[in-house]
Amino acid sequence: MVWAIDASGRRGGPADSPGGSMSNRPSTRRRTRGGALVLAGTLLIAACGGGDDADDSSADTGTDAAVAPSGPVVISASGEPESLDPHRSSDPTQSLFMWEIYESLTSIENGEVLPLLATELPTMTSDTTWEVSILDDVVFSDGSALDAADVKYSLDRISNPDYGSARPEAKAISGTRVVDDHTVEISTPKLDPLLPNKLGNLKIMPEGKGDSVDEPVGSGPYMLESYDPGSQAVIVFNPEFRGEKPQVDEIVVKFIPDAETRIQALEAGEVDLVPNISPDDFDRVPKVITSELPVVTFLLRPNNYHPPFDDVRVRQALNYAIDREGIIETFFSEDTAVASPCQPGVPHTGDTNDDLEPYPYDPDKARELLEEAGAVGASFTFDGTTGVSALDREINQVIAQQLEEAGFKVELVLNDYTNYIERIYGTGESGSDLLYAFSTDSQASLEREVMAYYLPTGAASTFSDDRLTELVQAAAGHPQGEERQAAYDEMLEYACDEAALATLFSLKGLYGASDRIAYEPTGPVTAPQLSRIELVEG
Amino acid sequence: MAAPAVLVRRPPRLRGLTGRSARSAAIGRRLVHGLIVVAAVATVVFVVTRMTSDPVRRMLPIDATQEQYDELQAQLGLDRPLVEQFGSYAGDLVRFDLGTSYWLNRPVTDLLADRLPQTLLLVTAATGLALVGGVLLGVTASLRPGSKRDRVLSAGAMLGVSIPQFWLGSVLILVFAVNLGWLPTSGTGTWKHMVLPTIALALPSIARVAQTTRGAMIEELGTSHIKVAHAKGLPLGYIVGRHALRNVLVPITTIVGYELTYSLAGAAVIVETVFAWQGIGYLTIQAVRRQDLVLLQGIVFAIALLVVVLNLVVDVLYTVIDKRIDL
Repeated sequence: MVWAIDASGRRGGPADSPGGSMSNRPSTRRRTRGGALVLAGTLLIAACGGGDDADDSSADTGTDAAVAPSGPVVISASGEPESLDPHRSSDPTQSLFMWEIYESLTSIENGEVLPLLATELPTMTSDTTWEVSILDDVVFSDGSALDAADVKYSLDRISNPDYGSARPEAKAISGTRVVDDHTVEISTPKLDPLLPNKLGNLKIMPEGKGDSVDEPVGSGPYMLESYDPGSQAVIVFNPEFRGEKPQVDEIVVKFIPDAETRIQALEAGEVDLVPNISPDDFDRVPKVITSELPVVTFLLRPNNYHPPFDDVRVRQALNYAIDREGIIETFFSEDTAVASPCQPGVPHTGDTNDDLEPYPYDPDKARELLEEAGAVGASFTFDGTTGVSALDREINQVIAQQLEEAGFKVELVLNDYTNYIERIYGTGESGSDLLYAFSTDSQASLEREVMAYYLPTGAASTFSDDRLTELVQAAAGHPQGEERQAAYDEMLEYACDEAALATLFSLKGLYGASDRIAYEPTGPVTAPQLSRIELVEG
Repeated sequence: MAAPAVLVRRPPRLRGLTGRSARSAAIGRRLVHGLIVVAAVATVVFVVTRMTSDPVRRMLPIDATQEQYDELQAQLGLDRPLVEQFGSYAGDLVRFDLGTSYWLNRPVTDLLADRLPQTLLLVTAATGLALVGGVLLGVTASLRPGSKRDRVLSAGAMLGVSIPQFWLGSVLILVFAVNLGWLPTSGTGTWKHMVLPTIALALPSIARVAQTTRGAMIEELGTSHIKVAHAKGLPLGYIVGRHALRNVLVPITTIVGYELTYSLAGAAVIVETVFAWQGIGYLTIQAVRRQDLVLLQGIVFAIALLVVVLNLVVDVLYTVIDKRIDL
């Protein structure tokens, strides 16, 4: 069922934030096109002799306005990176190109953890120690060989409290020890079954190079040729790379903060790839590329500390009231989004319960539950977003409509990015009644989302349930294996029955691309693996 | 013959001082007033940013522990009492130490040194275009008030003032970069990169300068000394350029000074973001999004100082344009 937006009575929030990573301004684009027609018509009449020059797109267009067929591949990023230090924080712009320069012991592809610099996945030697063997043929871009000392240096640097890394994995390591030239023992502060996953985000640099991160030396397929802060970064093939040479020798990453400008740059032929485009822009770009699997899940976070969502029937009604397939049909397509199973995080990642399905759309059932709970007409504030993610304003309006039709009384507030950050971290009783949120996956496991949302002490939690807390702690304590999966299955099923969240839909990575490249992204949205880009012949 | 009507400001003279001493004292007084304004702005931005943002939370991942939060908060000095924080902040400002950006981990003064010239280049170009274009259009419209030409130009000015700059920027990119392919969509580097952002920034200013010029010129062209000049058979161009325009330079200077300030302190933020122009406007948006208090404070302080200096320059220009005006 396709939903039309009923905008009456919806209260808007702060103005759209420019340059959101998945922002869109569809009404602006319609005005833009109308105004452009008027302006273009005027110009055509006024400049009758100028048409010939306009046909030659490479003439008079500036130094790099149109990309030559065999020139570097140009990617647009939504902003400039915080720094060139891969250990400092989780910065998606930095990882866009720096993750081609540096490598880690493991990598994550399509939700699976694989060895990269390690010969095989690390093995647990005790509850708090792991051993990892390193490949013996890896050479950094400066010609030096990678060995255990480099791994120890890098991991110690990230985990050093004095260094103050803001990466989530920084606290995962309590110590390292060189066993031999190509073997390292890693200690963790407590049992941590996800250490191999976390190692996938910890980059290895040569010993001592932490003081010169502005001249990065890595073992990846590319190396940094130039960096113009705020403008662009250029990476070129690293001749010391041990693996297969990527087809593209040179990649330029341009920092373009405004989403509309990024699309226009693609339309003008100035860039080849724009990550995180909105479905609204599909008909404007030469080609749309999607990741094989979903990379982000959107959900609603109810607050069970006070009415109306302190009653499980009301939370279940919330879930039954949402037409997930309708939202997908209206705003996306079955090629780009799937209804989310009843668990946080992206589908097909580690620790998921494969038996859990999405709540079905059943507004009658929702109303029945509300009547049973004496909560028909229950009012609450729905904190949605605008300009934060793809078509969020419209989707939130449709969700509010669906909830009203089921019997809720909704006051919709649309928050820009800054307010959204405040809302997501507003936890406990004082947190939002209901919040539209999203989660990605950078560790091939649901654990981060489970900890954040299901534990009362979670960083984004407005949910408290003693039994769920018990189940989460029990599940997280198991090493990888069948027992862990069984514990996760039980915990996730309980959370689903309790409707701790209302998961909505999971979206694939959406990229706008020029016709001259082919690309199949398999990494998380934070690390798109640009070395997989190929030039299309012809 | 009656003396020509001229706009004259008559501020009070400083008792006992004359000539250059009076001028220097007046400039000094203006500077002191300006610094008080800067101090007030710096205080307001300190209070507002502390009340409305939590940069520690913004910098940490979603699953950060309270321990990590407390550690980072202490590292940034944000766990200290507000009064103590303000004391450090004020002391640093006096020494022109604007601190280190949380986001980029670089001294704010370095970032300003890198980015401010780009903004000044853009704003200067746009204001120059506004001056030339606005005066030309305003004078043209004023020569025959109420005529078809005047009505068209006035409507155009109204449109120019009303168009939102982010929309204008997108339209300019669509027409000139995407459809016609004449200019790049965004970025910096060559003169071609400057064209579209300059136009986007200048267009509303051209409209406002044109409106002000038109109004002042109509009034001036109606004065008796201009009528006498007509009666003497002087050419229109001579009358306009030699007599009328000189007498409206003061209001034109006022509006151009305003446009320069407005562009610097406001419009450049939007235009730089749309065109990925690497100036401090773009940096401001990023600082707000990332709740980088230090960077935001530094930018606001620098802009406030610049605005004070600009206003002083405009005040001095008045005295140059019309020697009867005192500071």
